[in-house]
Amino acid sequence: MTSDQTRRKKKRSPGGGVVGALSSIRLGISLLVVLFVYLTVGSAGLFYPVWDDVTGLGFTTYMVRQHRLFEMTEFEWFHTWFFFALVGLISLNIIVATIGRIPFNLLKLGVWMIHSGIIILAVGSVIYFGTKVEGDTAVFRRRVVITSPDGGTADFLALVGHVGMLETRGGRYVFQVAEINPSWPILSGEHKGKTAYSVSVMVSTPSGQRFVRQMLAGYPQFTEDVIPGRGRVVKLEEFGGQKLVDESIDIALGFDAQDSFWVKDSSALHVRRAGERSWAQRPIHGLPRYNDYVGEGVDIETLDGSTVGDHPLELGVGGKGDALDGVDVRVTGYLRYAEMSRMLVDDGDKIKPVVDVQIVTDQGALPSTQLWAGDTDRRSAFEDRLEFWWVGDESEIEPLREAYGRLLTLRVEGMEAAEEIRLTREHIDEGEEEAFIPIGGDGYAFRVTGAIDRLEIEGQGTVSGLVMEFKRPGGETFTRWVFENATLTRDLSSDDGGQMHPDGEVAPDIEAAYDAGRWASVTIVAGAGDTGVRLLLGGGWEVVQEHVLEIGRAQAIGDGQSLIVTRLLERARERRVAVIIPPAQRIRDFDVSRHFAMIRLTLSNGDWSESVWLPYHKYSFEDMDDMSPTLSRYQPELVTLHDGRRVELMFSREKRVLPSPVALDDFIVTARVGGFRGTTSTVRDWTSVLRFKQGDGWSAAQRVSTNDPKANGGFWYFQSYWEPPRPARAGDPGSSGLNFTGLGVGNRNGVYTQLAGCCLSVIGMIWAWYIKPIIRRKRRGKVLAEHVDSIAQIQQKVDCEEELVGADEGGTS
Amino acid sequence: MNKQLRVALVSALIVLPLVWGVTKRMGSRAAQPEASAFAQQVDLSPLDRVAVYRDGRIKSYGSFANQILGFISGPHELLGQDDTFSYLDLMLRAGRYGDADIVHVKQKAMRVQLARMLDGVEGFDDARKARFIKSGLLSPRLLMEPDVQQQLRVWSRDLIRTAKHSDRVLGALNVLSPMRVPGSGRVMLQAEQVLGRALCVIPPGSGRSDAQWFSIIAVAPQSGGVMVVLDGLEPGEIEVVWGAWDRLVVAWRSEDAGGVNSAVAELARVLPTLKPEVYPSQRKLGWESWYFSNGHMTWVWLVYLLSLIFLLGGVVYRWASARWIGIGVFTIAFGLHTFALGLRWYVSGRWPNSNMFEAVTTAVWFGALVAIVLELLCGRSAMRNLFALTGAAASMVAMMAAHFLPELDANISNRMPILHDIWLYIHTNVIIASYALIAMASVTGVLYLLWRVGGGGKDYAHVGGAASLIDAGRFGEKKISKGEVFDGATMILLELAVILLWTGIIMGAIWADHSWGRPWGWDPKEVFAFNTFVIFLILVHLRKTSKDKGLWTAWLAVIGCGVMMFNWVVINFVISGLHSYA
Repeated sequence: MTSDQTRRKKKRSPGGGVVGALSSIRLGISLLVVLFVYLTVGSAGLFYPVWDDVTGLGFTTYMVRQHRLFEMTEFEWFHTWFFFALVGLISLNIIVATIGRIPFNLLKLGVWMIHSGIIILAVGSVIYFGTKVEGDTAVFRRRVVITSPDGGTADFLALVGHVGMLETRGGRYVFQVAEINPSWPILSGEHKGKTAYSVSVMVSTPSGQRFVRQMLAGYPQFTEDVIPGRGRVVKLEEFGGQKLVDESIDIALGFDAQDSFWVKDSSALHVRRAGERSWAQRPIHGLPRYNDYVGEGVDIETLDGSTVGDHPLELGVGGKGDALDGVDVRVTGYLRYAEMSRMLVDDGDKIKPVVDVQIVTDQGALPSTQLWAGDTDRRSAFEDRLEFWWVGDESEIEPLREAYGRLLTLRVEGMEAAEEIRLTREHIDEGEEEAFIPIGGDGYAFRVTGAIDRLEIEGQGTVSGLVMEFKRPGGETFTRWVFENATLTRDLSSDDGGQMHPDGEVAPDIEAAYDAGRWASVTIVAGAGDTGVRLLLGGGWEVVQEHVLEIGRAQAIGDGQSLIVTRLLERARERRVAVIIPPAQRIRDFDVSRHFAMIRLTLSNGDWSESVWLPYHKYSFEDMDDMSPTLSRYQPELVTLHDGRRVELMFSREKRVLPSPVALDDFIVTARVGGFRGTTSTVRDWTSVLRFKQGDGWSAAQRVSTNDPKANGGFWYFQSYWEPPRPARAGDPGSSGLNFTGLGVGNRNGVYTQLAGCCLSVIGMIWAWYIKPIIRRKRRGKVLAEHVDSIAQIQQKVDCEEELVGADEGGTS
Repeated sequence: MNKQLRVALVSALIVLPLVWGVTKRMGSRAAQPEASAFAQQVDLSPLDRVAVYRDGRIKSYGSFANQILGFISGPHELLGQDDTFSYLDLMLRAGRYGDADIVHVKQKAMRVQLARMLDGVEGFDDARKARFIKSGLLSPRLLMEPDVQQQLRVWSRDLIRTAKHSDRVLGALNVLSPMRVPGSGRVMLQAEQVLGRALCVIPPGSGRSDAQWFSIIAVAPQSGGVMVVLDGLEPGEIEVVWGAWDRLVVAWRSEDAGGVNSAVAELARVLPTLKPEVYPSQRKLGWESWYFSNGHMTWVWLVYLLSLIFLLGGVVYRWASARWIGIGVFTIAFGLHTFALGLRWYVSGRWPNSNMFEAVTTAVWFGALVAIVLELLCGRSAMRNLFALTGAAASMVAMMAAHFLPELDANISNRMPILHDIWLYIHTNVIIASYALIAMASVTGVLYLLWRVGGGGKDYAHVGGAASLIDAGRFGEKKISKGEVFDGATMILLELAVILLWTGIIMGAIWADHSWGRPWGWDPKEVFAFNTFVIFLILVHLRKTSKDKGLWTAWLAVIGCGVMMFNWVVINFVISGLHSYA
């Protein structure tokens, strides 16, 4: 066969054409360019703007993969069919080009190694990403385990404030964790100098006795009781040296074994019948992540007044054998970052006036205050110095003005009716002897020597009164403290050197009552029609200034302060609604972690249908008492189904069982110089001392710290997060921290294959770029030494060879 | 002296003073009005050797003051004073600063909006407004204006664009604790407590390194003059410390420089003797203060610039003298750079590669080191001086960035726990070294492109990069074009960079595997490191197929550098990811 015939045959073969195309370097370059573009677009190389004008400074930006068209995490973007096809095609191109174009010899060994390494890396990656399971879990340090003499048991999580109860034949014991000290110093004995995790439990016995049992994890021999106010029991005589008040009740610290983890980036609906403990779960596939999806007509709000548009969502959530059997379950809405909020709208049936008020002081703006005119508890703020009143018309404002005045009502012997005296500042004797003011015509007289304004009296609250002197017809004078609360009114006896009558007697011939008036120094008055919004500024005795307010405009109220009524609602109505937080106000970490995401779940059966918003839960704990509020929210939604079944629903992640339960034996914080101060900046490392369940017992302790994971049952455990201390706040007893650890959990199949591929490719690069030229040079030298006689001939040959090499290889490989 | 050398010297003499002037104007601690006579008379140098505890680290007082003042006034000095003076002055004579422009507002758009709000406010005239918009410095009094406060709080809600900057201003105000004087427009600062509490100079009495340090005001006598008890410290020691501090306070407030100097000397003498076992060495503290007072030696960029001028003359015009001077100055610059790096290593107690400032300055140090090695290898080839030139250019740009950009925070802080791993040294150093080489290759790439623009042909290095290096000697013997030289140098640098980059990526994956539980998480930093690698894969294969290999190589070297810079700068500062600390 001639060479022309061979070429024609090659041309005719379609298989040969495909192989030729697949071995093309240009194809390889094109695929690499596509790979570059795909990587760039999917990662952080390309953004699209989102208008978010909270501050007047412009746009915020999102990555392209977050757009509605894609709705992908980075992991998802790099796990699409397109990406797999691209990587597959590149691999094929490498294989075909290597076999078809590159001879396997010493000079080309580098290229072979590079290409083989990349193929091995690709194979390892298929294994790795194809079998990857990854998530995290929280493991608490201890549970309080109680056993009664009659065999009853109870246990609860060792967190401050957590409560347990135990019914015994003798009655009910109540236990509450009073204090936890993660670093209790041991001061004596062979363990002196060490620290231990200390849990103090307040015990209330059926007989009403109360004592604190203090336990040290890992040191049961140091368990002892303390009686509040009296000290350690061992020091109290009546206990004869024993350490425990009630030795029959056994309280110990046990592990809080965790048997599950939650899968990263997954979504699941957790469901159970009301009253049950265990959740059943239904995975939610295809749930969006980055954009809001609600159909038209769904009741939601946005803080910045923007609109979501009509983006309906319909995702079936299948499952069987759980509390939702027989109900069609669909996700019909998703909000990326929102909160359920009780919003006020101005469309109520009844008049319910509300104002939002902002006070700006020299120190900056105070948090906004909301005042309800019709609610005595919510009408005023700042210790009643700011009030809001609603009036029917202009005429009703006058009594409010007058209400600033103070009213003294007096009746002395001989008077038929009491006399009302509207007090002014002039009535007060401010150091100078004021003349007595006659009253009743029979020689009685009075004067006011002082005012007691808003005095705090224990058990009585805030009281106001007057200090008065009375003169009787015979010239006798005495002092009386006249309070608004008449039971506090007292005469002072002149015989006792001005001491108050101990029995609280009040001379019967003179009756005095006092009304201190309203104390609000700032009163906002609003009303229907033309009344508008007024501001009355009182000086304690009367209105000293009056202004007409404009909504949203600041009005100076003295002392460098100003007041802004930011909103007035006449018919306020509260409605519970999902409110979308504008992107610029979102906390980035929470935004990424779905912390404030929520789904709208629609349950239906025949004509019956109900929709409910479910907020995201990082963990689907079974009970609020099994968790810490810093870990995850716990807000299961209770729904009554068409047939009366009551079910609880929770939106969380997929929960999977660990190969074996894991317990946290100890949690060690290694501090930097200067010691641990509760902040991350003072921490050098965290170490979770873990034990894994083995049969009926526990494995030896394994220390997991940052950069030092441990394996168990095919899964690796990584130190992920911790519980820092937090101060007590309203509704939260606070924590000294270190009560739990956060562990990353995952498998890592195929990493050694990946590593082998990488190493081979690196060796290949070194071979191709550094070893090959040496080999070539040696060979060339050898050839030249054998065959060329003169220097000129050598130079000529070298030049020719260089040209040939350059033309053949482009000068690099 | 030949003509070429004279030209080079004259160029250097013209350029350097210009650059020096610009540096003085734009310096990392831009100067303000001259300090007061008191500030000039006070000698706080003994405090350079006093240790202060802050955030899990013991610093020198100079470094500590630099950090706190940087937080308040950004890159500016307070009233032309040294930071060490300003800290104590803010603490002890806060009254001076109520209406002094000392708080830095970083974002220009915010400055403009604030300036608009302050229009018409007493004392905020056009000149001051212009100064504010230019420098970003505003007084606590003006920042306490209700409208300004309201706006700052609105900005604090925008977590993406403005919160960081407004929170910083509010944080600075928290430190300064301004208070409006009732009935007047004045604002008093009450910074004494906050700054006093932060001044933790008394070592733990227990002598344990993990025990708490005490602030200087913790030793203040209780009511009735009863001395406090600090566990492990003798009452007499406490009394001496407090006595010296009290004298310093009194003297400071009465502007008695002599009294201040003697009290400072006494404090500096006593404090290190309280618990010598936990006190850092005096020499180390002294060097730390020296390092910070000398601008972290980032001014070395000027020396690199000087070398660059000569090296350009040497490479482009083949001036032999300029070449030798350039190499000499480059070596000096590298020596100074090495000293700065070593000093930071000594002061911080760790190899400097844990934050952006350190990564940038260390990366180019690697680059300069490689340049010197390559110069030694290629000293007789046509590529001689080219590597020094690329090293000087990359180092100069990086050190300028470290000098001028406050984003590259030079403060020495502790490493995050996750960074305490041997792979930090291996992975990070390999990666940043590859980055430096990529930057250097882009310089030769640009030179090649300029050469092409200037009429050069489609020349390229036939034998290839590494082979060129091995055959380096032959270049010197043969007449070859500049295009070949530039292309060859580009390939030498890129081949090394690609191997280091790929190795670094692999090492990062190994570290990530045992740190985060996955070797590859498609984090933006990972993806763009890989993207940079992909660019060079394209380059390598284009050299096999393209007819204009030199041009493609040059362009892809520049593009690769762009992708690398995007990864290093944009991803680090804009995109939040797993590598946010990198």
